[in-house]
Amino acid sequence: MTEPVLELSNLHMSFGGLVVTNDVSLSLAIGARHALIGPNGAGKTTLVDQITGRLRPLRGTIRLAGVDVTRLPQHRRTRLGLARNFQVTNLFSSFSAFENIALAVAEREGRGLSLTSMRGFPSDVADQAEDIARRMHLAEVGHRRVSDLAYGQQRLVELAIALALRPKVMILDEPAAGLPAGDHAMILDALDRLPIHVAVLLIEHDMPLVFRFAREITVLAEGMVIARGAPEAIRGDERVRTAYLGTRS
Amino acid sequence: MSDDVSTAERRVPFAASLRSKHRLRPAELLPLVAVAIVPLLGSGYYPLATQIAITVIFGLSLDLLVGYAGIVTLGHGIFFGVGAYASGIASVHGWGDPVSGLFIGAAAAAVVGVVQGFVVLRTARFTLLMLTLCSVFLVSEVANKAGWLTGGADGLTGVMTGPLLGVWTFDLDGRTGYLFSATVFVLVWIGLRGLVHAPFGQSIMAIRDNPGRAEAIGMAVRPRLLIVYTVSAAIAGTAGALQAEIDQFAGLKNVGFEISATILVMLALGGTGRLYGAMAGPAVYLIAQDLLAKINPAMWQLWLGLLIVATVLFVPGGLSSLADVFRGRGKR
Ligand SMILES: Nc1ncnc2c1ncn2[C@@H]1O[C@H](COP(=O)(O)OP(=O)(O)OP(=O)(O)O)[C@@H](O)[C@H]1O
Ligand SMILES: [Mg+2]
Repeated sequence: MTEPVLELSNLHMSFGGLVVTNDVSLSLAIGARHALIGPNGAGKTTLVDQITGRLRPLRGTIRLAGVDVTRLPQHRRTRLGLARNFQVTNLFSSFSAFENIALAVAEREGRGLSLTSMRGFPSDVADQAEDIARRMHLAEVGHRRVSDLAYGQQRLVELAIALALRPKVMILDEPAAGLPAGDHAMILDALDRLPIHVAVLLIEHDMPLVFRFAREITVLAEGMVIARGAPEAIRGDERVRTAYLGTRS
Repeated sequence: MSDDVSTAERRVPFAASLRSKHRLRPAELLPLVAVAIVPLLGSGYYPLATQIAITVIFGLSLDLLVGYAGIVTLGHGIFFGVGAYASGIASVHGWGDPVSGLFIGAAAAAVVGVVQGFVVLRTARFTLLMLTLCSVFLVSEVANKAGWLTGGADGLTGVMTGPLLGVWTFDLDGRTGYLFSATVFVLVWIGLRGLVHAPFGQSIMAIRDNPGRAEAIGMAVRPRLLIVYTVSAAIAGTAGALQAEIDQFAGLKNVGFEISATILVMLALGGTGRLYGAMAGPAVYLIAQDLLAKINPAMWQLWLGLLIVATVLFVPGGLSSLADVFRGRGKR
């Protein structure tokens, strides 16, 4: 058994009196396809923010590829191989889709401070960005400013940026959020083509999408892990049904 | 966007579209034409043109912060003033060489920039604005009280600017001063143009757009802003040093709130985030000031104020955004 590439141990977090993360442990192996589900307000996004460093847990540790990153700032974790998207689209709005991706490529290569090219990005960075855009079916709209793109395409740019970072661990917070069901196929297709060695933690409310994608599922409710296992086991779990049916129709 | 545009887009590789986006446009050479025309106008225009060149350098340094990094500051005069005092003080102590004087001014301003930036860049927006404002009052007061070093309210007397490169003296008609200032302006412009079109410049604009996102793709946001802040301070210090060398004087007017606010107004007049606004703004402001002061010495400030208000109302992107209108692209 190899060492997990992401390992959360006993994380605790609260906002004032509201406990949003209650003794959460989770580990992802190389190539994992893990889904984190739970009703609205269960604390999923808050957990992602702790993993990526936007929030500090009150207690517990986070290890990334064997390194304790609990106290590291966000950008250091990214450089150690952690990439995420955002539940609410969060892009560089005055840049084109290609440029958004190129910014990520340049940072991953440590060329963000470079002064050697005067064409925005060196041509090899541009070529890589274009290649990733093509894989995400964005090549045709890549020249447009992201703020002018359709929402579904913006979601794909989010994924493309995460891919451009060539992460070891990718955390996807509702990549299909805000999209009509018809567009879910586009996202699922993109998810299917993620590199196999990358460990993926997917947060999603769309159950067909979750069951198609995940090999393991963790269920979070009110900050606590209430169930974990293979998709078939979770589908039949009584507590999961109550947690969902209790708060969601 | 029409269909034929998107089919045209499809065929252009990204690298090629970057080349065209970042290429040198003919209109960008207009400032060079302006620089070359001044000597043909006769020596009477040297003082005004010199002042424009210096102010444009200062404006460019501010545009790097406001337009590219998204840091709005009311305290940029600090760096201009520190540069002016540093080169002036060096000159009073016998180091009157104008070229190395610029480096002295830039270095002193950069040091102050690193220290002050380290503190103020921990905040953002309104708090940052307040902190820069407090800094400018603090530094003015220090300059006022440290009379043994700065000459206090009387200013620094005895500044002697030596001949340029040991050859050309700063004569009364202002030709040497103009050519020197114009050369420094062109060099600063070339350097800054390179910087903002480089990956570094792109990353700064990305931080301006969305600092949280920038952090998430692995940028060390605050250190990177500190680098830009320091570069900007050094350029402002260069402008200040140039001012002290040309005036053979440095005083409180070089450092205070007024100069900090004025340069921000000039930049707003020209437009931010495109370098050329930082040229158009100070040029139009100073030329208008010069004309209005001749036509109506009593009320020129009122007319100048009206001109600025009208520009901001009718051309909110600043004068340089009119270039987009001519190119038929609308707002950027
Ligand atoms: N900054 C904050 N301050 C106070 N409370 C917060 C903050 N952020 C989130 N919360 C609360 O913490 C709880 C967990 O929120 P979180 O966004 O993690 O839920 P989620 O599982 O991602 O939900 P959703 O499925 O709707 O995205 C919610 O009750 C929310 O209101
Ligand atoms: Mg959420």
